[in-house]
Amino acid sequence: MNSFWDLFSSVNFYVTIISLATPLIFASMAALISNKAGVVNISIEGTMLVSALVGAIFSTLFNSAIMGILFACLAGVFLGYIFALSTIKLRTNEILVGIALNILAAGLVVFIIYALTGNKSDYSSVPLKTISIPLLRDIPIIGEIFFNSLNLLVYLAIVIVIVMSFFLKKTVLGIRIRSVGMNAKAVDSIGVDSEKVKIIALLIAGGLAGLGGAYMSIGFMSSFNTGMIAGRGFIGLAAEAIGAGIPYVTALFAVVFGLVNAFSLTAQTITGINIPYELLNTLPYVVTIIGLVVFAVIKKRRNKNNV
Amino acid sequence: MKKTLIDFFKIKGFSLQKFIFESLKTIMAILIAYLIAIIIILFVSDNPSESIYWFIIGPFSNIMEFGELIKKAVPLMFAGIAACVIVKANQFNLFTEGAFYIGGLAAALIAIYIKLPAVLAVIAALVGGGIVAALFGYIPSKLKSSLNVNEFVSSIMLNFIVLWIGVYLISNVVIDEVSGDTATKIIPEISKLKVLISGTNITYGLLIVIGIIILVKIFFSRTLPGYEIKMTGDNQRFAKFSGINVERRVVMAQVLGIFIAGVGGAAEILSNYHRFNWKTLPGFGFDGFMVTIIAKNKPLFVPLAALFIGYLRAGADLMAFNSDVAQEVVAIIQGVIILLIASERFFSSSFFKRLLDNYKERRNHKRMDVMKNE
Amino acid sequence: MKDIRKVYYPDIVAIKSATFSLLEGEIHAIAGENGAGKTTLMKVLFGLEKPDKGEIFFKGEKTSIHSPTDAMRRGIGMVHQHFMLLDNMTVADNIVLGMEPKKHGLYDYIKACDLTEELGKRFDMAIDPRLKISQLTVGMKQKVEIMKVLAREAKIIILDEPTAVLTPQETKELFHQLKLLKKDNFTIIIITHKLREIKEICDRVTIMKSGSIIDTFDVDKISVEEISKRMVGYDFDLSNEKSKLRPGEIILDVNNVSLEVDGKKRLDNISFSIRERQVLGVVGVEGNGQKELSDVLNGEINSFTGDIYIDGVSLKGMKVLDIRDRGIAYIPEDRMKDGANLNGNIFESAIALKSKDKAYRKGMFLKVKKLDDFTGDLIDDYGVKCNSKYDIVKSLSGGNIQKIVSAREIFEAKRILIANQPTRGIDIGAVMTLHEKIKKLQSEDKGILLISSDLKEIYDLAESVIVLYEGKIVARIDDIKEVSEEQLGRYMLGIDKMQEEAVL
Repeated sequence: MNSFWDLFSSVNFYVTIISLATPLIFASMAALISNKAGVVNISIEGTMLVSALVGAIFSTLFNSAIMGILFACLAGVFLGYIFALSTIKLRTNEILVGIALNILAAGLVVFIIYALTGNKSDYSSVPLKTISIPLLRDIPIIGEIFFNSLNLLVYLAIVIVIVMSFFLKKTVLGIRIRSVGMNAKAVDSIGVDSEKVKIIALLIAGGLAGLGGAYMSIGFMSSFNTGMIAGRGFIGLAAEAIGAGIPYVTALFAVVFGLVNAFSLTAQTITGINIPYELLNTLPYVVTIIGLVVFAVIKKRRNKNNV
Repeated sequence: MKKTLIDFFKIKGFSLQKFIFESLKTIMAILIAYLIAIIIILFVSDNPSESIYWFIIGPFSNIMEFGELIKKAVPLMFAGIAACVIVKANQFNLFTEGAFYIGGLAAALIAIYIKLPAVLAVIAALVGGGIVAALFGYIPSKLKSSLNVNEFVSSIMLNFIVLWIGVYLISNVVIDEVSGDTATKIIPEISKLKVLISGTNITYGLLIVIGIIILVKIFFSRTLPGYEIKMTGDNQRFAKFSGINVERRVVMAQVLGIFIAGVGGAAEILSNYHRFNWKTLPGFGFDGFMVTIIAKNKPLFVPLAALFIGYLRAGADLMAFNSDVAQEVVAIIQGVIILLIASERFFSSSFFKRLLDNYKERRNHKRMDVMKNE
Repeated sequence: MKDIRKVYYPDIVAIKSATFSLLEGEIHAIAGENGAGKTTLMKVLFGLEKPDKGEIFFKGEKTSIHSPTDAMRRGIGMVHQHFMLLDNMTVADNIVLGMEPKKHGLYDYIKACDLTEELGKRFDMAIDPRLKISQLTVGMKQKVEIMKVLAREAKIIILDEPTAVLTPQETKELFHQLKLLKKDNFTIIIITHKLREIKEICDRVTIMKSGSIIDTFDVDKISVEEISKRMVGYDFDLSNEKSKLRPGEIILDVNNVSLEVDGKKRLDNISFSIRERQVLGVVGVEGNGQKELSDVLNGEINSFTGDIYIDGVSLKGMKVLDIRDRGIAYIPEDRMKDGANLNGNIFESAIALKSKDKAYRKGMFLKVKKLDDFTGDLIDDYGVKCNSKYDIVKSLSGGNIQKIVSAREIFEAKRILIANQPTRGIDIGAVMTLHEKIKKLQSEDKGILLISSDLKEIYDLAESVIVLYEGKIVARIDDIKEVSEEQLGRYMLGIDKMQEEAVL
């Protein structure tokens, strides 16, 4: 049994925070780039689910975690493409497409597992090895957390946040994506096809969601199970809304979520806290709702002042 | 005779042409989805013809199976009419999922711990389930109307919250220590919904949901709040312009829908379970939205859409039982159907117009090329 | 452009048949009232719309323009009336959008700024390229739009109502700019209805009315009056018997109402009143404050200064429903978006107001039969052409939709009816029906505010008229019959202004 201090001073706790924040970072970056293009991407959850399974399958097929990650990413791009076609070319309401893809994903994963193994809920994968960077890992505390306990996808997630910020501001494609989200008509009027730009943004989002799914089954755990995404795709949407479109702030919320998630997983070991683990599990979701409410209140106050 | 029939329908604003067109669109979507499923079955199954037989013909093979079809359709009808009410206001509150769950739990608890005489016990459990669900469902709806918080995300978060609360309760607080199962005590017979049609598993739940559907239809076509909800969902600017209190109607539609979903969960538990033992979300919430989409959001079509999905599921179950294809193949069909039916452009007049335009343009280009070469 | 025709589904003929030609190096005005078809014609030229019939010849060669990209390739550029700018990005970003300069594959912002500065120097349009669009004044935003067009090497520039949103000073600057461009052999088309400006800088003017081109004139060979006559006038027939109703008590009193939006005064010290049995006409070219006036009167905008009283009670801050309860009914300008539910049926749009009436319901249950009869009466009374009460509104013609909207509002008008462009774009039959109903309302001691850019309508229905120009009342007329059409046109187009002594 530990005390609060024991928990918060343990290296493991911080590693857990980062590990739990990582899938959220992927999901929220996917939501972010979709939002920049003006699309509410409800299909991230389903995409992550399918990609997680694809990653697990291909990692065992090739006996390589990296191959699993690669195929998971491709699966994500493919699903992103379906989402893009449905909302942009077929003009189906985004929310309905999201519902359709999520239903599809939930059933598809069970179907595939059954077809491959005969059981209906789990599939093991070849997990990603932890990376240990010599020299840097010897830095007290920081070294142990950041350079001795994390895997490739975690580092990739951090890099993606930085790259995303850069991409949106400094590349032509990034600027066009933002432009389409701001005023698609303006973009069309100077001859750039706004639909094509949106589709590209959604493909990128799909790939990011794919990486998020891959992280769950390959980076975080060593197997896939059908309940493993647990709403993270939707929380990514919430994180994006709260982050108001700024990659770093969005990633910050992802870390906050990671913190709450980590806390809910380990709080049981703290003496003096007798909250049952089921109720602790509700914490991340409650925090997300609170976050959305706080953000909405702030936005409302700011609008009132502007008028 | 034929002339007066057509006149009668004309008075009610019924357009034969439009009806046929819309039905064709639905049928096309279903056919395409089935085609995809059949291709997958061909791939996966060692004995595809048998699998396909069970899938498509199976549910009609005898009374028992047909009864299964209807039994599966009942919770879908509940979820479908619940989603219908919510979508009429153009909202997408997915707490219908959590509502089913918590409605079932609340009904079980009411039945177990509150002693009431026969009919009252059933009613109390059903209505209680609905009310508890509605109390929770009020949260995302109010957040949407007052603060414009996206009800889709907040309702999904609430689903998980309610699930964990429920799992906690049945694991600790209301657990039946004797049985050792993670579930409540046994639900007293007096509260259960009895079988309606002997020889099947169909209970009075069917009557209840049909009653609710009729009430919903009356609500929307003959009451002021129903009318205002419809107008709000169709064109909010027009609704505001006419003096309708849009915020109130948005909340009302969602709470009503959630209430119905709660009753649906209650009915499901009281019909088919000895105890409440759900440890995951049953999945009816999302399904309900699918049903209402297929039903074109018309209350009276909901039972038909639900029966179709029930048929789909029954067939998949039979196929899974009798051959080697997993029943989850239906998810693929369902996903494709929603995508196509809800699409504005699929099989629409503009769809054909654009095909025609593309064809014309290609012909013109060919002609111009020919002219250039001359 | 020859024999161009454009019809918008289902029955709105935007352009009947238009033929005109453009000379290189001239500044050519396309003048006409709102709805005359000018913008549509230019959209066809710029590739934003495809004509149903007709041809375009470029330097003698037949061409077809499928898209803005096509048009731009031929050197045609368009500056739209509603700016197509990205607010959160800088001037330089906006100008190079679509042709962004690159360095090592990345966006070269510095080069973009340089390009902008060069452009500014070449055409004497200096703007700091690093400013965000949201920080610019309207005049500067327009400059950016023009620079966008110039950056793409356009030789023909189309400007759609460029001075609609500019202050007089900014207008002067714009004209200076255009004259410089003309010297550089640019060809400019200006879509406008502002006569003074046509006279000031244009070489030729093509006048359009109701979808047709009247004719093309050399500006220095035609007077302002003659342009205005062809643009807004018509041969009306004064023999129309007007009702001899004497106005009664004041119902609606508007007191010194002013409204400022985005730094520009949209309504400037408006005061007037409407009496029983009075139809007060509000005339003016669209965009001079009519929309803002009706928004203020129906409760949509609450942030005005001044006050509005109905039967002595102040309306300020009231919600839409409360204002309606006070007896004001309102035929909206945008009948499709605000007036009706296009996706629903006629019944639903018709009963929108009556459904709240206690006489038509029992508690929360609607007396459907009674509402049904009401709808039936409404349809018969106004001659709405439909198959049944349950036809989907979208499928009806514009005129019929307007009949439903107007009928509903007229039925509900207990004290005042505000009619905003009630007969725009609808057929003669529908117009006559609506006018009849308005006259009947007038005889029932109600007051009517008729906002219209159709002068015939004003002459037919109203006696007292106020003229709006740039948000101000520039003329109060007691009896419209006593003012000549030319004079009215001069008021409307800002040429003349009545001295402030007559109060209604």
